[in-house]
Amino acid sequence: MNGDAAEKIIEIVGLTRRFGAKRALRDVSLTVPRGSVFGLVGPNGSGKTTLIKHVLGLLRAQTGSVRVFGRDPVRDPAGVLVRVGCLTEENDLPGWMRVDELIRYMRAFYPAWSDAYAEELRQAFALDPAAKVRTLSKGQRARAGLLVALAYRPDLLVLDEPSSGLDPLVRRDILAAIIRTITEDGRTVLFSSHLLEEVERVADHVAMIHQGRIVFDAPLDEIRATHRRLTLQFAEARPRPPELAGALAWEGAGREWTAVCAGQSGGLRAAAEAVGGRIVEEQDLRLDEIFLARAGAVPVASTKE
Amino acid sequence: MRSPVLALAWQVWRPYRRGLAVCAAVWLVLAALGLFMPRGAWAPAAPEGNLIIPAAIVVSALFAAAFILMLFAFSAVPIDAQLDAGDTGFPTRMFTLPVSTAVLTAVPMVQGAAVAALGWVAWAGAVLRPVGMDVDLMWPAVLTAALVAWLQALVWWPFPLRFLRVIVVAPVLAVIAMAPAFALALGAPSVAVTAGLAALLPAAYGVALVGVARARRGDAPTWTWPSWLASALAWRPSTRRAPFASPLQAQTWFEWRMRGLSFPVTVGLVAVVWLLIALTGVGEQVIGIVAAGGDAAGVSAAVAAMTAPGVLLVQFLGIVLFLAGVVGADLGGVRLVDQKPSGGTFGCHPFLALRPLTDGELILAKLRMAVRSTLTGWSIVLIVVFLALGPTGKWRELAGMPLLQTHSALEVCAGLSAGLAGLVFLTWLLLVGNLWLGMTGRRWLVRAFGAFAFGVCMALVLLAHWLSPHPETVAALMAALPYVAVVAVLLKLLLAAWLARILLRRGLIGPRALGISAAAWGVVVAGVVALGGQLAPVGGPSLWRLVLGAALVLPLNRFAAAPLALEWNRHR
Repeated sequence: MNGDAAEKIIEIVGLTRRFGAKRALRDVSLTVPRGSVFGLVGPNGSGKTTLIKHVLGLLRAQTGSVRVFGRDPVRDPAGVLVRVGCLTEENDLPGWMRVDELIRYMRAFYPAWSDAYAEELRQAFALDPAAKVRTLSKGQRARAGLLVALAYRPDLLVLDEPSSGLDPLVRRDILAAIIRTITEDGRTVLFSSHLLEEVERVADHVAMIHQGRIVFDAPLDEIRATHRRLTLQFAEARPRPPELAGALAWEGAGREWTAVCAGQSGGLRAAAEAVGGRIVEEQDLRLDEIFLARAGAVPVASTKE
Repeated sequence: MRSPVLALAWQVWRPYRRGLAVCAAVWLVLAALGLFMPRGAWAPAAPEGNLIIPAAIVVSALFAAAFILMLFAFSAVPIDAQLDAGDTGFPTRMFTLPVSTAVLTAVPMVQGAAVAALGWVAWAGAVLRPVGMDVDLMWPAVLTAALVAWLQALVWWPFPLRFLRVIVVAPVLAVIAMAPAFALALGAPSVAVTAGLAALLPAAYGVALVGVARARRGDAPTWTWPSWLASALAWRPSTRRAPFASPLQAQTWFEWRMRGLSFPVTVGLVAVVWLLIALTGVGEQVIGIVAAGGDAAGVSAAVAAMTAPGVLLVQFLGIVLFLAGVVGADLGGVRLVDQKPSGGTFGCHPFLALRPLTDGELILAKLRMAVRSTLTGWSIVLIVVFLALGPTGKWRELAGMPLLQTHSALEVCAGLSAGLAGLVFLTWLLLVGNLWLGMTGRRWLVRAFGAFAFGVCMALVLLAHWLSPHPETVAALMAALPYVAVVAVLLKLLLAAWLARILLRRGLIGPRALGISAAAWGVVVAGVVALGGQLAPVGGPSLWRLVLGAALVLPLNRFAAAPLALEWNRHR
């Protein structure tokens, strides 16, 4: 693959998905560039897993298109999946397999499988090769799933809520796996998570999905730079917050109101002055604060930024 | 809903409410049949040629299907309960309810037993008695209640080992089911039999109560010694197994471990029973009694042509083919064996869906697994047949059967070899013929197909019985059959062409693979025609009739539909 297609590992255009009367995805367009760690965040039921299932070819696009490595994962599942490593929230590995059988079985599918790397991971994760998957704890099962997702050094690692319900040790292993993957040139990670601290730690690009729409999709630094907490003072007490352009959420009462805002600092300052307010404090925001403001306050007619 | 008892009852039956509505309709129809059928209609003296006896079969089958569903709906024994599992079969979500274990156990048991007893009373009172069958109301009602209660108790009891439940359930239920017949035969009064059966109900409740209580407090025992023993017996030097040569080989291994053993194990269990019957001579005695009775002319003729051991052998081979059909119904499944269906779907498991294989390769792995399964099953059959015939010397009796005397030894050997090859191939076809159905992953479709097949079977029973005393109609049908067959073959080929077009358009199969598949089907048809031509008696069906028959019988579109079904399931 050359040129533009080589730069876009995942390209989703105008994807819409319905389940009966419910629209799970609405006109979603997204591009995951090569070498990025792409975090997908959003509340429960927002459409993250549905989007990831489209990427893996488990769901067929009803409207729009999905391309992974420039290929349609539904028409060419073998061509796409051989380059993808995947760990899902359920991580349903066959319970009757022993760990060594799982490794032997999985290695057959991936020409790039590395026995040495698999063994290194097995030892690092302390997985007993004779243990049956059904006897493993949830954390150990996640580690087994991670082992078989990483041992062939996939070009794209897809993790759907990988650390949900897992203890900090396993979450550390998963984060380490992501970091290890991205240190290898050209490898890409797409992962969804509720744990925004994790996302903030490793992602360089974040998209937030809410009610099936992409609310924002930008590099993490840009997101941080364009979201501020402003504390405004007004000459007189106000019964309700002002109509401030870019404000996502408000707190406060009387003369002092605090807003979580989207926009550049200069523009926000001008907007505050236009509604008669004076900025007395301006703070950076963490990703979870941006997430809460976006998820809780935005009428999601807002479009991709 | 303020009463916990009502709430428990409601949540047990709720998943079955649609099926129960259908059952209610079926039962109303059956009751109406009972009202309108003439008294004495089911008696053995019913005039030959009317539809009473097959109608009775159909009605009984409908009753049984509806009755079984009702039992599931009221007994808290899930319809997909894994009897082989060691864990309790009681719905564990109910353990967290603020209700005592006594109530938790009693509600579904009382419901299940009451429905079973009332079901019999309704059936006997509304259908059987009005048409002249003098059946007892009481003891069979209590018997069905006791059977349900003991089934519940044993399903809910946590067993310390997998498969132990199956080993316990079968003899316990068999003893309960047969005890009344023995007691009545020994002259026990019906009231005493009823009382004895009634005593089984509190006993079942006691067992269930202890079992559910243990499961609820997590006190289920686990035996580890069998796995130690198995490990010790299966000890081998810790050498690493060689890697799979290809993804397809790995996937075939996976399918073999998932579903491949079902057929050989089932055949093995049946074969052991058959071997006992054959070695003890019980089977031949029964066949001899039936043939001597004079009521079964077909059996007499079969014994005359093949001898009693020959008939017994043919019956066994027939059972093997039947088992292949039954096991084949599940072979297309793309769930993991320990995956519980959820959301009304048997959908493709992500672990399978995410294998970097094409849909065609996933199907090919199943076909290869079925080959291994077939060969393993038939190896068991051949060993058992050898054990039954060889050491006992019955093979000499078989060799002397009149059917073989008209052929030379070479012809007999060739015929037996061809017949065996044909049976093995037919077994494989039966195993894989319905892959498409399981691959759809739609429970509603599987159920609808099952109901359709059931309906067709029932209609055929009625039709066959109606046709038997009307030779003129049979002759007319036979005369029209070739034309009907031509039209059917043309329709089949048209459908195949349409499916092939879709497969090509969606890229599910390449032109070369399509050509090879079509050619393979043609070769198999030609082989079946050639074999049929050799085995058919002189003056038998003509060549073109054989071609039509083979083209109709051998599955083509069901194979063509499999990739489409899997694609529909894998990429929803």
